[in-house]
Amino acid sequence: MVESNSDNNQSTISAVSEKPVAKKKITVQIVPFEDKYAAGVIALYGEVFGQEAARAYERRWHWSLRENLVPDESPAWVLAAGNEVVGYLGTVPHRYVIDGTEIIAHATADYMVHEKYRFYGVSLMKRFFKECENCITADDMEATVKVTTWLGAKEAGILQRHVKVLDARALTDKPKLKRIPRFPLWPFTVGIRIVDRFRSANKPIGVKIERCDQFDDRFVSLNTKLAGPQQAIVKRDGDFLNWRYGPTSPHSNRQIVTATLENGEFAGYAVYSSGGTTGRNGYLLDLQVAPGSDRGIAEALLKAVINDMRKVGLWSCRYHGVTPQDTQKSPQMQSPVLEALKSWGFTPRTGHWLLVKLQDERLMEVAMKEDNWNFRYGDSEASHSAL
Amino acid sequence: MDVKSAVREYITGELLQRKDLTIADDTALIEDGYLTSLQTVELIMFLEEHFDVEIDPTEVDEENFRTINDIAHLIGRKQT
Repeated sequence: MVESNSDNNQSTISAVSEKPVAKKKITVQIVPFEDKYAAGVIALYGEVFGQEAARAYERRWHWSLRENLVPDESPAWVLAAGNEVVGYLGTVPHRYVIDGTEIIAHATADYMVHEKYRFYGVSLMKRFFKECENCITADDMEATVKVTTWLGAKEAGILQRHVKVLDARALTDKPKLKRIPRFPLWPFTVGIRIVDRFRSANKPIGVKIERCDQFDDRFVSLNTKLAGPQQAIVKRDGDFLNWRYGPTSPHSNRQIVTATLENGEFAGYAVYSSGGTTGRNGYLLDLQVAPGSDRGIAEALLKAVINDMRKVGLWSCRYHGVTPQDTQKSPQMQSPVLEALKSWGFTPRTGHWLLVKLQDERLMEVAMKEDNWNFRYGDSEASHSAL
Repeated sequence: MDVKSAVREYITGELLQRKDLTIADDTALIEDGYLTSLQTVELIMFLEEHFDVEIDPTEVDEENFRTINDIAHLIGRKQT
């Protein structure tokens, strides 16, 4: 090992030196993010998550940090060891409506620390909780959840993952089943299609399903209705929808389908990603139906999404949403979306924890009841990855 | 069991799952990469439960967690 001795500009080879060479103490400190750290953050991302992931990261990072709805309230911090960026934590502010009250709450984003400095990750998260009044975030990384909850966030619910297999080859993505050759799986795929054909035979009467290119006032109006008393929801207004799924978003390739009743009433919509960088998986980013709707509306929307994903050759459809923990005990809380997912053969899996810390005690009480939440994959930080 | 021994046993046995590892009282736990964020939080939870103390997030820094000696000093201050 060769170390540089700054006192006399000579390099000393510590391996053969009899006297141990003192390590130069590097100061590690947390500083607010500035543009001069940008290259270091991107480089760190590449080190932590791989260079291929880093290539898509820079564009997505700008979108979430600089182009979000409240860019002046998007603090971010760098963990600096001397001049080197060895850690980073960003935030994405969202507007929420909780029990009729509008607040801004931050989600943590891109929490990463170089392996050598992992101890200081706690300090980054401490800074977040010190400077951000409200925190609503979703995560499945054990370390992040543990640090976040230790610092005061509470687990408000599970962003349950649901998966529907469209092509049996999706099963071979599981490590235990990787060795199964794919060609004998086609009968199962045919079987899945036949079952789905039976499922889709029952259409709700008087519902028109259509493709839509842009979000309009109908979407905002429906989401406003969903933000009722005792409800906790991201404020999905025009600003949010156009940023979230806009041309610079990682999901700019999104598709939208809408459901309209015979009387012209807007009954629901689905937003999904079914191509580009999603690989073999389709992602249902959002699925909403008007209050009071039965599951038929959601089923019709799911049918359109599944058919489209199947048409482009995807192997699975994935959806994350907050669901009541134990629907068996509270049948009156069955949501039409959950019922529709079940009827279409979606299987629940483990998901992300929804972590919440709000300054206002009344709002925190509302937010701590999982049944009050309307929160989807399209709303959370986890969805800010480029799919 | 004294504080240092209890902390050492927890770090090697539970956090690192390496009972064969020898960590001295002055081993640089942070610089040598023994403590990650997750492990630090787990260590804090152990310290609070085992020694019946409360550790504020503001006390979680290099000064208090650099070595087993430093952790023992922190616990000692809290217990007096």
